[in-house]
Amino acid sequence: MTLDDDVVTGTVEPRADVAVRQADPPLLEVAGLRVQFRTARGPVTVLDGVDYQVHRGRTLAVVGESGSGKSVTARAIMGILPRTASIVGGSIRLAGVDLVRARESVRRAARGARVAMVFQDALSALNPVLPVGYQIVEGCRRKGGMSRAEGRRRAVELMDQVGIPAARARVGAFPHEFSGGMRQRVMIAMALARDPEVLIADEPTTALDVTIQAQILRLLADLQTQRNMGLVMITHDMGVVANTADEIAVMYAGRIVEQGSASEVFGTPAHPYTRALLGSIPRPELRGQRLPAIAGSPPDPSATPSGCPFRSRCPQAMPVCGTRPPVVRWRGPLPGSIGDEAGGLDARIGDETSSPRAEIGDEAGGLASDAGGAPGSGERMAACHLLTPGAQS
Amino acid sequence: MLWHYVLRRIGAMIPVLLGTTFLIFLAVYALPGDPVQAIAGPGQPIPPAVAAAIRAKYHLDDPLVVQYLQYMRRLLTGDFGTDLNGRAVGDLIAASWPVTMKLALTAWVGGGVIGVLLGTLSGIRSGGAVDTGTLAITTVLLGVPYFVIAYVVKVLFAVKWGLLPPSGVADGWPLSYLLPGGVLAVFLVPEIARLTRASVMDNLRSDFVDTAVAKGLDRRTVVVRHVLRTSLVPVASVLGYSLGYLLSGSVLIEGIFNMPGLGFAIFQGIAQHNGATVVGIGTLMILVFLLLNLLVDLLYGVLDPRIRLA
Amino acid sequence: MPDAPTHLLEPVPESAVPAEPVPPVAPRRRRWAMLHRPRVLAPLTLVLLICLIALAPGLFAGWFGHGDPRVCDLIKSGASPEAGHPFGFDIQGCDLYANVVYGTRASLLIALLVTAAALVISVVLGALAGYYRGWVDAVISRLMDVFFGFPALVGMIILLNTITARNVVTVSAVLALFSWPPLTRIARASVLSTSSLEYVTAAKEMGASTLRILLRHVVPNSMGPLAAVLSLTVGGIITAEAGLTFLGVGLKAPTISWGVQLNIAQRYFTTELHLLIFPSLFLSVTVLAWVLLGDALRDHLDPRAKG
Repeated sequence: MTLDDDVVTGTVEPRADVAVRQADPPLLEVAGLRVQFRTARGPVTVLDGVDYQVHRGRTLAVVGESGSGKSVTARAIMGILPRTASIVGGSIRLAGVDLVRARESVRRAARGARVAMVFQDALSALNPVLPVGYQIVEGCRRKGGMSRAEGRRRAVELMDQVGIPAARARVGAFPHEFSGGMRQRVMIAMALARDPEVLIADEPTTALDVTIQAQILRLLADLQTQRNMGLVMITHDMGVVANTADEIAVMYAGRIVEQGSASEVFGTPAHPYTRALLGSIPRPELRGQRLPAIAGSPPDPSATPSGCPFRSRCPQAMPVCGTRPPVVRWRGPLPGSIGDEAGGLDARIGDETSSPRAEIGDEAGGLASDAGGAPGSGERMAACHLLTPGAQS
Repeated sequence: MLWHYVLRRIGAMIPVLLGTTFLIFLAVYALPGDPVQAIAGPGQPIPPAVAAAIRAKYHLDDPLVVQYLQYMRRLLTGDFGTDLNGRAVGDLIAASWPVTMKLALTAWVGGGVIGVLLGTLSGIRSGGAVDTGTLAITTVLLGVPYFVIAYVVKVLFAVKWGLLPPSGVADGWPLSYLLPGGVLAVFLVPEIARLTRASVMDNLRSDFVDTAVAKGLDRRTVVVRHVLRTSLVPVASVLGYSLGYLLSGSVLIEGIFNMPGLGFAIFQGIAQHNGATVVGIGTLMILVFLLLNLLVDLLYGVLDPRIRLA
Repeated sequence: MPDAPTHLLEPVPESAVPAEPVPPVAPRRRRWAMLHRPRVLAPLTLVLLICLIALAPGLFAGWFGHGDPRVCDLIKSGASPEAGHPFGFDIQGCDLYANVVYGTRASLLIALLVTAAALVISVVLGALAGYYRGWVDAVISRLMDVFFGFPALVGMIILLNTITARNVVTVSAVLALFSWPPLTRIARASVLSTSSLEYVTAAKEMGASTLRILLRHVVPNSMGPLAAVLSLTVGGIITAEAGLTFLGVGLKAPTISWGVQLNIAQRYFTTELHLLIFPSLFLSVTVLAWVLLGDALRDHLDPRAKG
């Protein structure tokens, strides 16, 4: 079997959950997003063609190291990039409207009402001199919105929903009077105040104790189910997403290097970076051994290597990695709306359907060796997939 | 608990009060040199009978501590001493007090408002024209001595353009107080403007500003309700304590503008070598200063619950 | 979850954790580099120039031909600027330019004396209070509070009024008396935070004597915030002294000082404006130079204190 066969004949059957995905249009769709920062050394590209989608009722986990651009993407969506940053390409579609090209009034209308964000550090993200209840419903109480009394009731109601005990008594309290976990719940309540369709949680548990982390994650999952929201969970901790994510997007140096359903990415990670991330999770079996880590550090954003950004740390890097990054996309037939930013993808779309397919149900098999260097993009993916344990090289 | 805080603040003030009054007492009555001479004023010849009377009245032959206690007792009964002309310093204080109060308050409110306005505009549009202008002006104000500014202002506004009276309080409030108040405000404006500016710039970059924007609030609401409200907290604190400083600054301004307030009285006392006047009024100003600071402390304890933990 | 191939990954290097916490003083290289920035260099040059004038006023006073401030001719009393006398004449008929130049010395001398004294006091007291804490700290802090309770100007006026001999030494002493509390507060806070750092605890455990700990570890590393405000302090003292002398409680004639010149000038300001302008100019430029230098240094050495 050669890769090209699968491309041409399309003999592979789409999977069940992929069919579901196809039928449901995404609530939020980021396509080819490029963001640059102005620095003393000139413009630096921090996001270089990011695509992902958020669907109703499903959780997308965006995973990556610090500096990978996962927060920048979220801030671009919410419109809270720093002043030195600008979106220089791509689109952010919310219910069909491209926020990048829309007027500020349109963007402002969407914030909080249709897409909301929960920040990482609740203590600094909440205004220290305003009461908690006030901040929670502030978005609802703009001109023509709720009255003071209504707002107060809504605040108590929301605080109840997120599990803050004695909500009525504490609605007038200040942020510093709450514990870390409670403050994070306040942030979540604040984000939910106007019933958004999409909730972006930027490292919501990073600043919390491990025990509280579990509570908050469960809370988010429950709320998502109740409200049928689309949830984006941004984190650097693979362990956090293991139980909660439906889809995973792995980011590195401003690009998405692998995307797929949770079972796919966890079960059969294709990109070397994903494998390395998974491999570095502490596990009981590794007791007594050195914890594996990825050698080196992420590239300087102003000097990202061309092609695959990971190639400077990837022992499997090949010359072709310098020209075309091996982005691993959706494992099924694409919904068709994701653009082709990284170059040379059209041929590879077929690759992605075929080569991983061969791995499903065939963990140890891997592909027949293509090390001879067959022409075309097929060889690109094959090289990476040779990393499957047990594969011949 | 609010009561604990109040008691703690008052408790902290008492040793300071005792310490300061004791120091003044030492300065006048215990320094090397003849205390009689000090009371009378350096350089004044004193007939022996007067000297003996002074010694008796001020218990100068008693041990130092006793003298201090006598001094405190006199203070508590409102006896600030008598100057060389036989006039009770207390009367002088009563007559001069309103002028100083009006001057200080004018400078305080005016300077505070101008400082906060300038600082806010500078902070919001940092790097812009208002910002650069404010920084330049405040720098100049910090360097040029106040009396130079006073005289320049006097020459321009009063002598050359005849807009405002150059001295005295004949025109009452506010006309007579605008020039001196303006110059006195120079002590306040640069610091307030810079502090507000720094505070606003700091808070503009805060995470909670991002949160506010992410909630869909418009820019004006974000700036006024979130940035300003938090930025003004440290500024309010400095403003509160600055009234006391303005009181002592009035000593200088009243002299230049011939305003018959407490400061002018001290000024005159120095020029006429009236030791008792200088000490008496000086003591009063210190007491007022301490009381004012205490009031401000208590006020903030009421307003901001976080302070009560301090 | 598949096992990642081990040849892809490497163990975490042991040297990843730094050995010692970084001391709060800027590394030497950075400190010298900062001198090259125009924001520091410009006022620094001016300050050095002023110090030079104060050290050797004779060099500068003679530029226009009549360098002796005490050569006076009453006929010329209050005369306006003319050839050879760019600032004109003062009330006594002496060359104003020479007097202003010589006035630099008094102001700078007092300012440097006071700052040096206040610095020494604040380092000692601050170190004691911050290191020993307990009752030592309580006493020193109460003492500071007493002085903070004084409106400094009023206190200085009262004190100076009772002192008959008013020269550089006495005026400096009074100014120092009210200058040490702010500096000590900074020193104490700095020592408080430094002495809780781990290398101090380590030194204690190793049995180093208290004096050695103080001199070698605590004090050098607490100097940053203090150094940052030294220049500002000098500028403040110059202003304060000028103000006091102007009021009549500071230096007295025949001491040549700007304050004295301004004290006299205020009576004649409507007619002989130059008597006021030129000393004011020198005074303002001097204070500004020190304050600007202080501002720039503070931003470099103690960014936390940015005002």
